[in-house]
Amino acid sequence: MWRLERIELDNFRSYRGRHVVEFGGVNVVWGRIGAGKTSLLYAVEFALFGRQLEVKERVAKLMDLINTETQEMKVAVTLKKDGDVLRVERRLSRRGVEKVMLVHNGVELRGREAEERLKELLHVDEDVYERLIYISHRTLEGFIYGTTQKRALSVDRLFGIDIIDGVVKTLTSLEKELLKQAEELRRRLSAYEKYKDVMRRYGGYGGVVSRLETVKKEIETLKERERRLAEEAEELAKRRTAYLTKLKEGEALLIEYYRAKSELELLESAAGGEEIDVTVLEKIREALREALEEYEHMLPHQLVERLESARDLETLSAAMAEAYDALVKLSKDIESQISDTKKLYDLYVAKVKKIEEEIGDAEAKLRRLEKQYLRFKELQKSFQSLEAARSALAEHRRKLAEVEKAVSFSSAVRTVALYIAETGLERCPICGAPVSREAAAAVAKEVEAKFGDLIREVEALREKVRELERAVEEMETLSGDVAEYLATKTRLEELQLEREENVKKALQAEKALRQLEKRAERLRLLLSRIDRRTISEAVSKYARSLKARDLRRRLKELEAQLKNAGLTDEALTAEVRWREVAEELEKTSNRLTELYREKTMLEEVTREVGGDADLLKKRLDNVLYAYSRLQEVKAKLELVKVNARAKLLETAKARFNETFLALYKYGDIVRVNADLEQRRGYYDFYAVTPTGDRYGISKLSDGQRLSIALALALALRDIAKTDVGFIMFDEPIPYVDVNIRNAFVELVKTLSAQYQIVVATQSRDFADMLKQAVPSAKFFTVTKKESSEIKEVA
Amino acid sequence: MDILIEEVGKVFGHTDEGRLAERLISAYRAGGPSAVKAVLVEYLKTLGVDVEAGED
Repeated sequence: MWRLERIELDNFRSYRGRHVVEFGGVNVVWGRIGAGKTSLLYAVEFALFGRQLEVKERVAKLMDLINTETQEMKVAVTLKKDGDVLRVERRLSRRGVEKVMLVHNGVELRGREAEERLKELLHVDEDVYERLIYISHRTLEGFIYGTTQKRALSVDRLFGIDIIDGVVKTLTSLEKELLKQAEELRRRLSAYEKYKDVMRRYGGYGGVVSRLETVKKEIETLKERERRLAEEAEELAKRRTAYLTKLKEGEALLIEYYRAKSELELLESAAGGEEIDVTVLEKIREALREALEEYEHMLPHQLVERLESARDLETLSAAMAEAYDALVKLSKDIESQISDTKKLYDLYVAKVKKIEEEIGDAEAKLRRLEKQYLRFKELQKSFQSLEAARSALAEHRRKLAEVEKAVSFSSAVRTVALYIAETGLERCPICGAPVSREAAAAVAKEVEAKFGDLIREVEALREKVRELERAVEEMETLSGDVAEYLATKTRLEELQLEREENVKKALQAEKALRQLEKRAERLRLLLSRIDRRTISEAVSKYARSLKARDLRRRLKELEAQLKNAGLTDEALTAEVRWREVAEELEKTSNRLTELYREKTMLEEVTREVGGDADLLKKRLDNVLYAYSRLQEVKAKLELVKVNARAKLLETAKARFNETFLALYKYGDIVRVNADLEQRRGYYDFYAVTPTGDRYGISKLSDGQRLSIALALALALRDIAKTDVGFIMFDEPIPYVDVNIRNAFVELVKTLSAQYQIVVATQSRDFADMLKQAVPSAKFFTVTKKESSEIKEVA
Repeated sequence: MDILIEEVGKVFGHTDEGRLAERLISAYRAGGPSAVKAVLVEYLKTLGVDVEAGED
């Protein structure tokens, strides 16, 4: 294993200049507090790793390793292992440049190569070095004197689990920071609620910030303006002193002059700098008069008279207002008439439409009945009328009956005559009168001659009756339609007359409507140009114009009087300007006061709120979420710590007992062991006596506890398989406790068989005890005046 | 074998928090509390939270 041979310091910490220390197997370094003992030990760590514990733990800065009076420092450590020689040299300058050089058996390496080779050769990293090679009182005293919790921390440090505590501590500090932020954000949100009205007024937080910027700019501008006005006021005040006496003498005139001037300025500013057109009033009067005349038949006649006879502004204003009101009322009446007429017109149009619909229906009906009607007319031509046809039919039926009777008689006579003629009867079979065959034959012949005519007459009559029957039947059938046709025709004629009448009325209403609308339009046009406000403005402008004219005249008079009183134009101009500037200055100051007030309020809002509500809420959510994540990580890391304790303990157990027994040779303890408490996860160390009794660590002596602590450290060191063969004890036993010192001295004696030992202490007694116990030990004294000095004492 | 890192893997599993815990341990070993804080500040940034990275 590598042993320390030599250390060379150049301007390292309190060691100014060059210092060389040659080490032996056991080395006792004695010196008072602050003399430079620890610096010597730190130098080894710096040489090997480029940093040291204080820097890592942020107790000191890397630059603090350079002696305060120099710009650069150097540390070189020479190590030996069997025949191998290793020299590590590290330099650091105040510019932050760090250089490392390694020489191993004559081979020189620098930079990264040197670092890698060093790690490879020593088989140790900075963490193991700080835990198991550089052992300070912090490591041992917590174990020996501390509570269960403190002991657990000391063992954690040996195991390298204290890293979790370090991480958890930082996590806790950030959790606190997050809680602080959450609290701050909640406060801001509550402030947002408090200033809700302000936010609404300015359109949100962005509006407040933007307004604040504007206000600041405006304040700057106004301050500059105020400064310039103050300068001008001062200058004018100086000029004013020259004619102050005359100003006092003409004070009454001046006051009137200012009043008139101010009044004139007001009037002119009200006119917007424009010349007042006094003819406007006349134009309005003329327009109103024309309108009144046009509608005189609809308006009271005295209105025109009043308008024309008005001689002063008040009467004219009243007359114009009265005329205007009358015209407005007329306009409303006309509008009302228009509405009524329009309703009437609509009524007639609706009526016409309805009649036209009826006409359409009637015409359709007539078209439908026309054929029947024409047929009836045709029948009428042949039979005059239905009654005539009926009468003709009755007549022809009667005639037919008569002729048919005659035909029957003739037929009977002929039959009888023919019978008599054929049979030669002498008497008539019907009446019994004498009759001859010849006479009968003659009668038969005579009857037969007439019978043909009779038959033809019957036939003709029958035809005529049939014709008449058809005609009567048809006429009877058609008579209903004809009556309807005729009635419809009559109704159609009536409807047409009614339609014409209503169309006429609608046209009249339309004409009236047009006339009314024309009137209304003219009135509207007039009233759109003139209203009460126009009249009032025209009157007041006219009045102002008159007033302004009077004021200008008076001002000229006053200027003349002031001139006579010895107040020149220049003095007046200066005086006027002085008053203007004073007034302006006051206005500016007032405005500045307002702005400062607003600025204070806005600054308070931005300071208290500091962001938009949505943004603040989102940030609060993020912070609370992050807090919960950190808490989870922290809880799990605690679990990792307990698990790692168990695992490491399991790994170290066997070696620990073995190492302890090698160190502790008194025989009253035959075994040591450690378990993990189930409840809190702390270490439970105990020792076993030859009789098999088990003693918890609290029942052991300080020396026994020291042996256990060192045994654990050495066991872990063995497990780490480091190739570093030295142990550095930095003030290992700070308390004046003879027993523990004795125990430690004994342990050093034992350990020196296996390891190179360096013990730094401020206790001379302890140092002497060590020297006496190990006579071969090298004894160094460290002193400090301006610089630390180390000397070997023979 | 790094027992702490191994236990972190077992307790956290393959999670973002597990990777964070590994980084925190490595950072502490390399640079102490300030290095841990730097890692945490960066992690919090990914969660939308800004914490000052200055010294405690």
